[in-house]
Amino acid sequence: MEVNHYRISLGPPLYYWPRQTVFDYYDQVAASPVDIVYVGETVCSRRHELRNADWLGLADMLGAAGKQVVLSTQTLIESQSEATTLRRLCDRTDYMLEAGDLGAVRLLQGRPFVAGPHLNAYHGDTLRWLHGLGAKRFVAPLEMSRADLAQLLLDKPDGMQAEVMVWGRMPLAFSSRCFTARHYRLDKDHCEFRCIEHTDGLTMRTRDGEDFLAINGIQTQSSHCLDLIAKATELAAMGVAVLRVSPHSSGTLEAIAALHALRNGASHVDVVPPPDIPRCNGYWHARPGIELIENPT
Amino acid sequence: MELIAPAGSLAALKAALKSGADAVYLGLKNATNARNFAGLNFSEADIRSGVELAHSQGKKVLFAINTFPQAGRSAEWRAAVDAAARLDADAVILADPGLMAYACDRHPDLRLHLSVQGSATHVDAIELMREQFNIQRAVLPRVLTLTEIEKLIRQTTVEIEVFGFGSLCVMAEGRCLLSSFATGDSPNNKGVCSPAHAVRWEEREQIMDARLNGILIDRYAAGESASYPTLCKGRFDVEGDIDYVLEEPTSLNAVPMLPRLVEMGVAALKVEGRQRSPRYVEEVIKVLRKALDAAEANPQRYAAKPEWLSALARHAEGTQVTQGALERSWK
Amino acid sequence: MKPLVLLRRIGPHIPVPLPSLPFSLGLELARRQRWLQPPDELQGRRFALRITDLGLCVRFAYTARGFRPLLGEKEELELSAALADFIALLRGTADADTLFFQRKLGIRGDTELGLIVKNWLDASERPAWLQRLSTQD
Repeated sequence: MEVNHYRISLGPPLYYWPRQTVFDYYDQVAASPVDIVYVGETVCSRRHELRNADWLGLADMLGAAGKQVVLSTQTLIESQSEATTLRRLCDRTDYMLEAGDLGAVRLLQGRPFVAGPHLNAYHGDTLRWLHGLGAKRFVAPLEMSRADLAQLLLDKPDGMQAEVMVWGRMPLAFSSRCFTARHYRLDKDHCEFRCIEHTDGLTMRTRDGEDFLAINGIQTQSSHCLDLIAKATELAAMGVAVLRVSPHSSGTLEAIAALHALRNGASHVDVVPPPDIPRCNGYWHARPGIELIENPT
Repeated sequence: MELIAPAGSLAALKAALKSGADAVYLGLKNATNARNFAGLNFSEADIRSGVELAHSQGKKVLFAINTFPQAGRSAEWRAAVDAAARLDADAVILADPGLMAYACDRHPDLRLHLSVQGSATHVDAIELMREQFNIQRAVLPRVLTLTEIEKLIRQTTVEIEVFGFGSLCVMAEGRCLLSSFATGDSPNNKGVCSPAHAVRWEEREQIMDARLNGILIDRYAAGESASYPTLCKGRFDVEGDIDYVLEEPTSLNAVPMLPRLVEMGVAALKVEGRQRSPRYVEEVIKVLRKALDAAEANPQRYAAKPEWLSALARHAEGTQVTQGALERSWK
Repeated sequence: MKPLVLLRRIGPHIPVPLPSLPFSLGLELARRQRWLQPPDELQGRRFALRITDLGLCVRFAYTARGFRPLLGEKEELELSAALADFIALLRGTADADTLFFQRKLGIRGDTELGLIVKNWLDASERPAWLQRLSTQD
C-alpha cells in the first residue's frame, strides 16, 4: 500500500547527450517506477542529436510504457526562429506541455499545461493567474524555502497541483551566451557542440578549489546535486503532489527507486549523487542554496 | 526616444533631471525593487518631492516594483503599487503577473511597464502581458541582438525599452538564482545580487580576495584593479583554466548604435545604475543626452564622439565596454 | 609640507586614542553644524579610518549622542586610504567605487556598512568650505 501519495517525475533532460545514449537512457526510464516524464530540448536550440520527431517518438514509447508524458518548451527564447519552433510545439494537442516561458503560456490558449520552474510563481496571486490560463500544475521556484513553500501551498488554488524538484544539479541561470563555447574560445554560432563532451555539465570551481557552479551551454547550474529525497514524506504531507528528479548520467534511476521505496513505506534510503558531485539542500532551510544541512536542530 | 535615468537617491534624481533625462526610475527602500541595497532608495516623502520636481519640468517618474512578491507577503508589494498610484508616478515597472493583476484591478488608470525582470524575450510573451494587463511598455532582457529587437518591434504595439548603458547582466534577468545559491538572497526574492552583507574583502601581502558568503569569487594580484564583487564577473577554474568563465567586469555601451535604435523604433533607452553615485548619473546622462540628440537630429552623419566614449568609459565597470547581446559575436 | 612630513614620521608611533579624540570631536562639531547628517542606519556603528601615508589611525563610533572616540571596542568597518584620497572622497571629487577599483581605498570588515557610508557620502551635498579644502599645503 502506498503510504505517501506523491507521484515521481523525471524533469526534462538538461544535457546534450549522443542520440543513442538518450534512447538507451529512456529505455531504462520506461522500466523504472517513475510516473511522469518530461521530454524535449529546453536549453539550446542548436542541439540536434534528437529532432522533434525523435522526441515525439520517445514520448510515444514512454506513453506506451504507462508513463504520463509532458513536452517541455525551451526556457529562454531569443530569436524569431526559436519562437516559431515554440509555436509549432504549442500547436500540438496530443501531449500536455510544460511552459518554459510566458510566450508558451499564451500560445497554449487555455489548454491544460504545467507551469515550469522558471515562470517565477512565488505567490498565490500568480498561481491563480496561471491557473486561470490553464495551468494544472506548477513547479515551485528552486530558491524557495520550506516555510515559503508551505505558505504558497496554502494560497494555491484548488485543482492546481504543486511539483517540487528534489534531486539533481539545479538549473540556476540562463543567458544568451554559451559558456561552454566561451570556455573553449569558440563562437556560439560555431560552438562545435562541445557540450556533448560533458555528460553532467562542466564543473566551475573557485580559485581555492571549492565546487561552486556547473556550466551547461547557456545554462548555469549548481555544481552541487540538490538532495531533498529525505524530505519526500514531509513534502507529500505538506501537499506537494509531484516530486521531480532531474536526469543525470548516473544516480537518477537510484533516486527514482529511492523515492519509490519511500512512498512504499521504507523508513530510510541512501542516494548517491553522480561521482565527484557534492550534495546541497540549503534553499529548503532558508539558507544559501549551496549549503548542506544534514541534521538541523 | 526617451532617455531614462537611474535614481538611487533624491540627489541622483536631481542630477538626472539637470543632465537631460526624460524620465527617472526609482524604488522604495525595501525588497519590492531590484536594487534593494543598503543606504539607497527612496522614502515616500522623497518620492513625493521627486515627482513634483520632475513634473514641474515636464518629466516623468517611473516607479520600479520589479521583484517577485514572496509567499504570504503579497501585501508589501501591493502597498508599493498603492503608493505609486498615490504619489502620482507616471508608470509602475512590474515583473510579476500576480502583482500586475492587482495593479490592473485596483488602479485601472495606472500605466504598466513590464520590467526586464519579467523575462519577456519574444512577441508572444509580451503580447500575453498586453492582452492580460494592458501593459504599455516592455523592457527587454539583455539577450537579444539588434536584428531580433527590430523584428520584435514590428510585431507588437507595446513600446519597447532597451538598456543603453551600465553594468551588464550576463544572464536573462528574472531567471538568475546564482546570488541566492551563494548567499540566500537574489534579485527575485530580495531585490539584490551579490549583496554587500555577504561580501568580505581580505587583503594580505597586497593580494586581495573577494569572498561572497565565504566563496572566493575573485583574487586580485598586487596593484591589479579590483571590480564589483558580482559573482558572475569573477574568475573561476574550469578544467584548470582560470578565467572570467561567465563574463568580464564590463559595462554595456550602446552609444555607437543609437541611430539604429532610433530608426528601429525603440521607444526608450535605459541607463542602468541606481546603485551608483549622483555623479555617475550626471555625467553618464549628459553624454547620452548629447549622443541621443545627435542621433535623432542627423542619423546618417552620426558618429559616437571619442570624448563621449572616454567620459562613459570612466564610469564603466572595469572600464571596459561591450555591446553585449546586441551584437551576435558577444554570445 | 612641513606638518605633513613631520606627521608621516611620527604618525606610526602615535597611539590610536590620541588622534581619535580630536577627530571625533571634529566630526561631532560638523554634525552639530549640520554639515554632516549621518543616516539612522549608522547609529550605533563603529569605525576606523587608517590614513596610510601618515601611518595614523582614528577610531570612532556614531552613537545616539553623536560621534564619540572608540576606545575599547573593536571597529566594525575599517577604511584605509592616503590623506589626499580621503579628502577627495569627502569633497565629493572622487568616487568611492573608483578609488576602490584602483586599490586606493581599502575596506575591511562589514562591507554592507561600508556601502551605507558610501551611499550617504554620494548623496550628501557638500558645504562650500569643503569644496575649497585643498590637499596642497
